[in-house]
Amino acid sequence: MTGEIELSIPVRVDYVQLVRAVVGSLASTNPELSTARIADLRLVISEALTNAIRAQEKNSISERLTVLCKLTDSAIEVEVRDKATGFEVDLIPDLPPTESPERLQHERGLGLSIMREMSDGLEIESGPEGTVVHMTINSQNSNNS
Amino acid sequence: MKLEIHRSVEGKNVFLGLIGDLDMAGAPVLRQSIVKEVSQGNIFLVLDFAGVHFIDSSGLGSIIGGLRRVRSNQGNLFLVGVDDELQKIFRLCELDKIFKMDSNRETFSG
Repeated sequence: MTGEIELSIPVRVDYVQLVRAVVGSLASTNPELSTARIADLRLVISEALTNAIRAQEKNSISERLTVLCKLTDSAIEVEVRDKATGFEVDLIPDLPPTESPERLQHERGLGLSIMREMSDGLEIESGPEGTVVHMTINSQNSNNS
Repeated sequence: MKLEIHRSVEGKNVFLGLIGDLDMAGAPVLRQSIVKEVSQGNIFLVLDFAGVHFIDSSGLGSIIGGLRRVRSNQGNLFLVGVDDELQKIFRLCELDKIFKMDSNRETFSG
């Protein structure tokens, strides 16, 4: 089955779970996508939405977020759009090494690496008008088993 | 479903049984619970993940903060009941090197 949905959601944390459920349900209609791959999908969309909500909250922007989801025979593509003021992906600092005591000082900073690892394609376009995060989840994971 | 926390005490350990998703909405609930326990002198905490089937970076952040809080008070924080899917995420983020995890709750009882 193929299909496409577009969700327009308020900037509220309690909607993240709802979007995960809706997108996961759409993905589950494709028998080629395993339960593990759908779990990966739910995780990356949660990360992208979390970042979008934080960015708009930080800038006090109440415009709705947009989530696009396109299901093909071999993959699912998701796109999360926000209207915040953007960020420089290359300027995000690395976390301290795991074994370092300093690592416990950092509660944030894992989302982007999770999206990179769990998706089969990640594109981020960010500027003063907002950010678009585009991710692809193939039925067969090219990054991990 | 909003994260629920069921509290019980076994010996010196306080068990916090988590039920629900540990995400951007659930993380502050856990964070507040841990802050409250530490402020009451309960510095040996066991988080029971048997009722958690989703965690993201926000949830991971809340338990990293929890570990920092108990360790700064000479305590510790342990995880039990973490399913395979969640363990995959801990390994991906190399947090399996930081947290002591055990599949058996009894390890920390008594």
